[in-house]
Order: sequence, then C-alpha cells, then structure tokens
Amino acid sequence: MAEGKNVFVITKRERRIRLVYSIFLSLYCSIVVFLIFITFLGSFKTKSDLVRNTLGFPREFTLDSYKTLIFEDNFLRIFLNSTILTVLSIAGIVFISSLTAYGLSRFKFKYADTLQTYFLLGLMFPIQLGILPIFIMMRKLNMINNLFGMVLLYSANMSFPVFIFSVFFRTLPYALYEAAKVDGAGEFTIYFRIMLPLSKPVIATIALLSTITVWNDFYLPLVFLTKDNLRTVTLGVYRYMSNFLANWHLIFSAASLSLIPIIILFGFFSRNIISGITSGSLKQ
Amino acid sequence: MPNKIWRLVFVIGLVLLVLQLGVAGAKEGKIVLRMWEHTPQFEDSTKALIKAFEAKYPNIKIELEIKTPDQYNTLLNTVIQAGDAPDIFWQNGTKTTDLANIVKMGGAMDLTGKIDLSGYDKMATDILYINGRLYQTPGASIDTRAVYYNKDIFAKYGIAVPETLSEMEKICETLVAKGVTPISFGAKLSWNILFLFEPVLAAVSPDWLDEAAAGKAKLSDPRLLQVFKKFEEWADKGFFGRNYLGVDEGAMLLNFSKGNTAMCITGSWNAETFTKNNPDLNLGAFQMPMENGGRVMVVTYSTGYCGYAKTRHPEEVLKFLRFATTREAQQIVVETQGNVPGLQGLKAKNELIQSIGTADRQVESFYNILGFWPKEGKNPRKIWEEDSIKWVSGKLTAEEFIARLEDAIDYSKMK
Amino acid sequence: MRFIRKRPYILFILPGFILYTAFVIYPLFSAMSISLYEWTGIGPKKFVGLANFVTLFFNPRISEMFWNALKNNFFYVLAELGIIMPLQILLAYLIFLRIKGYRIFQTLIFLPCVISTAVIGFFIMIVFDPNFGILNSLLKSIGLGQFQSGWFGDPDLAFPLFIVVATWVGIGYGMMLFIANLKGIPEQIIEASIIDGAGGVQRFFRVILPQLWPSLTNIIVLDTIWGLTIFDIPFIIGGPQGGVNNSLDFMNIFFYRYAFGNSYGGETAMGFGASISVVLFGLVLIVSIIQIKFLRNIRVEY
Repeated sequence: MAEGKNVFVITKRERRIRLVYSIFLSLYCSIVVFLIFITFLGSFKTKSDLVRNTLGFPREFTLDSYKTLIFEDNFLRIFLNSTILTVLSIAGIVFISSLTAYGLSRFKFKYADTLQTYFLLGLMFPIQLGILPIFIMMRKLNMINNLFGMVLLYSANMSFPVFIFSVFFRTLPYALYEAAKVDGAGEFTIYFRIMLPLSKPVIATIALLSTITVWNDFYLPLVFLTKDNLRTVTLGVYRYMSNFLANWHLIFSAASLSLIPIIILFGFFSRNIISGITSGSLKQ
Repeated sequence: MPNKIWRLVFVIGLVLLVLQLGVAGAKEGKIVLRMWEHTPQFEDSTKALIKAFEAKYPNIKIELEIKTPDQYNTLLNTVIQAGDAPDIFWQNGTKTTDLANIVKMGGAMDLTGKIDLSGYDKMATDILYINGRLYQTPGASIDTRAVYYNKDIFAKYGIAVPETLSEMEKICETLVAKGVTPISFGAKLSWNILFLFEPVLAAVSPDWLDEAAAGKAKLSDPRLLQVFKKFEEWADKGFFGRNYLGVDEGAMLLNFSKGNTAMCITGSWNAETFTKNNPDLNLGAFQMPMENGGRVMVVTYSTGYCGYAKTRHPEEVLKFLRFATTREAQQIVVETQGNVPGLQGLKAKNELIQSIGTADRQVESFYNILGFWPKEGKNPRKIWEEDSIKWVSGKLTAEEFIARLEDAIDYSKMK
Repeated sequence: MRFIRKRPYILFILPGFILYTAFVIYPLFSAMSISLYEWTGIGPKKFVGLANFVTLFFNPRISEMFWNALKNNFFYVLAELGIIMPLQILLAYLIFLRIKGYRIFQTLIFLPCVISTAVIGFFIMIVFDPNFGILNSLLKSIGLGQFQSGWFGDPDLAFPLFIVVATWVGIGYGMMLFIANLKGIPEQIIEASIIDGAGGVQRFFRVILPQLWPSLTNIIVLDTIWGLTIFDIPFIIGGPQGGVNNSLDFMNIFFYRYAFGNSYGGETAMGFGASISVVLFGLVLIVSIIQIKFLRNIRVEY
C-alpha cells in the first residue's frame, strides 16, 4: 500500500510474515462485517419474511420498519438526544479529568499516591449499588430529566480517564515545564498552552473510549431520563429488545440506524483520528 | 481530529441543546399526571386505556413512561424513597412482595371504599389487599399458561388436539419419531421453566395443587415428586428437543414462530406476540388435558394500578383508577392486549384467546404457593428462581431440589 | 492564598475531587452500609449486624455460589492477562507497523466495542442459538452435523466460549490504548535497533516491550479491576442466573441477582446484595493495591 511513509526498513522474510498476519486479520474482521451485513439486510425485510428467512436475502425490499422508527417512534429525536449527550459529556469528561490527572501526576506531594488510588475506587463497584443516594441528590439539584445533569454524572465518573491521563502526564518531559516556569508562565498557562497541546493523542483516545461508554450506556439514562422525548438510542434499542418477538423487525433497523454514525465516524474519520493520535507523538 | 471540527461539533451540540430546552415545557393548562408501566409488552393496551380516559376527561393529561420489567421495581423503589414517584403506577398485588413494601413505606394511596369492585371475582380482588386495606385496582384478565400449537404441523401428521394426558404424550412420541421437536423450550430463565412446569403439574396432580394452596399438602408429598419425574421423563424422551439449556425466551418463542416445533407451552400473554410476530403462522391453543380427561388451567389474575400516596392531584388520580376498574376500560385492555378475560361480560378478542380461557378446572400457581409460608429469613421462591435451572440441567436431582425448596418452608405457619 | 500558591496542584485537583466524591464515592459508601441490614430494597430496614456476611460465607448453598462466581472471575482475569492482553499488544504492534490494510483492521477490530450490548446479545443469539443459529446450521450444511452443540447451553463449553466472545467484543479497547502508547515511543529508539540489525521478533521483545512496560503495568491493573467487576457480556449471555449451572456466574451478576432480582421481578434482598459488593470491593482494592506496589518495583532489564 502506498499510504504513509513506512519508518521501518523491513526484510523480505518479515514482509511475508506480515502478509500472513494481514490475511489472518482479514478473515477475523470478516466476522463483524458479516454480522453487520446481516443486520442491514434484515432491516429491509418484511416481518414475516424475517421470521422464515432470517439470514437470507430479502424476498422483497421494504422500508416499513424504518418508517415506523422515524415517523411513529420518533427515532431521529432519540438520535439527536444521544448525539447531544455524547458530545457534551465528552467535553466535560476530557476537561475535568485531564485537569485532575494533571494535578495528581505532575506535582509531588505527600498523599499523591493515595489520592491516585482514591480516584480508582469508582471502578470497583457496580454503579447500581449507589443509585438511590445519587437519585436523591440529582432530584435536589433538579437534574432529573435534564441532559446537563447527565453530563455532570458522566463527568463525575472519572476513574478511568483520570487514570489514563495520569499515566500519560507522567511521561511528559519535565524540562518543558521548568523552562516555561523560568519564563514566568503561571501554572494554568503552562497547562493549557503547553501540556494540553502535547496531550492530543491521549485526549483523542479518551474521547474515543468515552464516546463508546456514553453512547452505549443504558442504566443511567434509564434512571435519569424518564421522559419519552429524552430517550437515548440505547434505551430505544433496549426497549425493542425487551419485547423481542413482537418488535424484532424494528430491532434490525434500530440496530442498523445506531450503527450508521459509528461506521461513518470510524470509516470516514479514522484517518483523522489516527493522525490526531500520531500528530502528538512525542519527540524527547 | 483537527481542532476546528471539535469546536464545530461542540457548538452544534450546544445550539441543539438550547433548541431542545425551548421545545419542552409547552403545556395548555391541563392537569398532568405521570404514569409508569412496567413492560413494553403492555404499551399498546395502556396507551389505548389512556386515550379513552383522556377522551372522557379532557382536562387531564396522562404522561406514560414505560420501563423494562427487569428494572421496574428497583426504579420505582428509588423514586418512592426519593419522594418523586409517578402519580399512577403498575403493581402486581400480593403476587410479589413489592406492593406490601410500598405500602409499608407509605407509598400507595389507600383506596379502601373508593373503588367499586362489584362483579370482580374474589380471586382477582383478594390479591389487592394488604392488611385488609385496598391499595390497587384489579385487572380483569386471567394470566394463565397455554399450549400453543402449529395447526399446519398437526394437520400434516394427522394429529388432533389431545383429550387426555396420555394422548398428549402419544402425540409427542409420534412427533419425535417423525423428527419434529414437539415442544419449544428454553431454560435460560427460571420463569420459562415455571411456565412449562406448572401446566404439567396441573395436569398430573391437580389435587396436590388444591391441597397445597389450602395449606394441607407438603412439598415432600410423593404426588409432587411424581410430577418432577414426569417432567424429566418428557425431557429424556426428547419432547423438548435436544437443545433447550441456555436458550432464552425470545429464541424459544421464535423457534416455534418459525414453524420449527409443533408446540410451545408458555404464558397466555404471548398469544398476541405470536400473532404479531408471524401473521402467517396457523396458530391454535388449548389447555393441558388431565389424566382422566378434562382440561385444567393455572389461574393468576392480572392486576391494575396504584395511586401515589403523596400525589399532588389525588382527585384526578382517583378518577383514573375508577375509570380503569370499569368494564369499559377492561374491555379495551383485554382487546388490545389479547388477554383472557376474567370478568363476566367481557368478550375475548378472538377464538384463539377463547380457547386459552377454556378449562374444566382452575388451579393455583405453584410459584405463588411457594411464597405462602416462607421460613424466617428464607425464600423458597428465590430458590426456585436460582435452582430450577440446575434441576433441568441434571445437576440437581428432583429429590434434592424438592428438599431445598422444602427447607425454606415453614409448615407450622399453615392453618 | 500563599498556602495555595505553594501547592498549585490543589486548584487542579479540587473541582474533580469534589465532583467525584459527591457523585461517586459518597453514594457508594452510603449504600455499602446497607450490607448491615436486612432490606428488600424498599420498606423498613432491619439491623442484622454481620448476619449477611455470615450467610455469604457459611450458608452451604450460598457460599457454593459465591466461591463459584469468584472462581469464574479469577479465571476470567487470568484469560484477560494471559490471552487477551498479549493479543491486544500483538494487534496494536501490527497496526503500528502498518501492515497491509491496517486502517481497515483497526476500525473493524474496534467496531464490536462500539456496538451496544443489546445488539451484541442479538448477534450472539443469531450465531450460537442451538436451534436456528448460524453456527449449527452451517455445521449441518457442510456435513459436520455431529459437531453441532448447545454452545452456551453446554455447561462445560459455556465458559471457554464466553472467553472467545468476550475477546471478540473487548479486544479493540485495550488495543487502542496500546496503539496510543506505541505512538509515544521515540522513533530514534526504534531506528537505532534497526541499525543494530535486530529482527522483527527480537526487536519487539528487546525494544518495544520495555518501552511499553510502564503503560503495560497500568493496563494490567485496569484489566484486573475490569475482570473482577465484569457484568455486561456474561449477563446478556447467561442472564441473571449466571448461565446453566452457574457456568457464567460472576460476582457482579451474583450481586445483581440478589439486589435486583431478575427480569419479571422476582424476590430481592438489597441488604444481602450490598454485602456481596462489599466483599467484592475489598477484594478488588487489595488486589489492585498489591499490583500497583508490586508492578511499580519491577524494572525490565534490557
């Protein structure tokens, strides 16, 4: 493939080995392609066609289930909700957790290690356990059925991003910090002007991984977004799933619809995402 | 991604959010009641009910929120304890312990003397009372289990609907010999085991069920063991096919819907699901025949709604609860849901439902009986939920399983 | 003000600390106290001291389930560290090397992570259902009918199969982290090794792996925590009962089953459920602290 400069000189033997890997991975990847293909195919079938001929080609193409989704069940609105929620949450998560992680990992103080562990505790519980106290708080803050409330909650669940950011910040060259300090820059200036721009790869990674978490989250929206017009995509799909047999033509098309933005994001922007990750690669 | 794109996405998001906030909150001076239903399966019927109510009381608007059954009670408990419960919510009477707990918390409105229950079967209303006070409206549907069958497969092999239990067994043997799986079964959830086990129990030992419900028979009774053995025998003979372990309800119903199996024994509420899923399926249904003929049916009554004790609109809530109890309202539910009517004067939606509701004898549900006399700190229903799969998979013998169940029952509580 | 100026980290940490403490730590710890009560989830609580813990460890029926779930968690962590993580590193390295088609591989390997769990459950059904799933139909149509199986319905097969599915679903997550870390390795180091004449495999073990080590130790900690608290995938496959004969039962499913019952309702025991999660929490905390202490002290020699 002509794309990209290959930084490594490789031998013929190595090239052959890589080709074997490529072939193997192609086979592996065809599984997910096949499953998604079946889902898309199924979404164009009529209900009774789907029952008898679950995996084959549709006998007649129909857009009925998409029509039901979009015009009766208001799926576009649901889509919009998920999009807004995800975008705002990512902004919140990246902002607050990078700030916290920076404080934890760039400065040496007595309880830094303990605090680091403290921020990990959130990963060690099932979230369902604490739902009642959270609900009472959210209600007092008037944050039920409020997308901002959800953004707050997602940002507060910062264990994972804080951890990853901390690991990364520890690898940033200390010399840069000292030099800026000598120039008289304030702590926040250093952070926003020097450290954050250097952190693009990890920001991209966190943004990506958090997108998945938020987009696919089922439990928090179920509890805190109770109004029909605030439903998220995952809730929508889950609702069809829990009345599986009656709705399963809708499951195919809802699943297809929920996959489209993800495929677009990765298919068309993967070049950008990767270059976002690479552009920050460090030169010491 | 380049910075600009991120910024753009962020701004778009913000704009959309503001737009959204603007749209919400447009109301026209109506009293709005919030209502919770526990499963999407009841979505259509509940919506139809609300529509009829709103037509009658134009100044009241009901906002329906539908939850999923696995989360419903947790969510409801949470909002009740947080003091923010919906004005109207579904409950399952004394069939589960939830209503009693909600009442203890002061979450349910006392409806004693405020609802007209005349015409309802005693069995349907008994389950609505906690400590002698009425806390929820009744349902006029019978939740039973039924044997659904594929008429085309029966016709193909010249099989008629069985009149006795041994005929039923003979049918299954014939089908197995022809290479057709007689009964679609999935044992991933204890509930699907229950809905198949109960009709077998009712057909083999209806007397034991009656006596146990009255507190006069024990689980160690050989008649019950005989039922467990019968079930095992059916499984060994291949009546449920080879693969049922780990199969979930959706796959089990679908397998029947696709015409792969001749029968499926499951809840009456699935009749409508089958028809909706595959309108081409030539569907029939009957209740299990007993040893000496005659059909038997496990009966539990459906239930209606509770009012929230701290609602700001008690008058309107009562109006709805009263409306939901009327024959007119129940007919709407029975018809849209395809339920078996359990109130005189209600019509079944079609012949299929009619045949599900036809039996010579009615018996109590085994699961219900398990919960009648629990030992302090023990829970026989929970043991059924957890260990029935181990029994079906053969890890526990019938004797061991019964012993475990019995270990959690306090017979001295029986009167 | 001087106090803060001397300790600038306070300003960085404080907002996150408050948010996290209020919305994560406080609710969890206040819920943990429920483990000392008998409580169905609603209604009055009854203080029972340590009775829930006694039940958990000494009631033969319950403790059997507890140890079984713990055993499953343990083997899953082993599989994660011994199978999934090396595969993730390998894949990340291959993509880092830009083998043919690496872009599309990266996208497609990652894709299952992004698909919502409900849809994954649906995929699992259409592939593995013993009666009409793709796998059994395929085996039959190519004349290998004798290899048809109940798949997840077979208690001996369920766990290994679960590992395969979990790998397929989750492998992209860690892979992405490793790719990001590989990009952070200074190119000079790699170029130097090429001049030294190191071959592909040698280069990986002698140059790449030591460079990856710091992030590797952290991912080991994360993987262990995730492995001990896994819920989603075994839940959609095995349901709240944890599969046939509890072959897919894990600590968090065990917790969920008691605290929230199962689909259709069922009986709940929130207090007892909380005691399960307290034990789980203690375990995870101890294991991760040991790991953090231990792994930080290891240095790879090269």
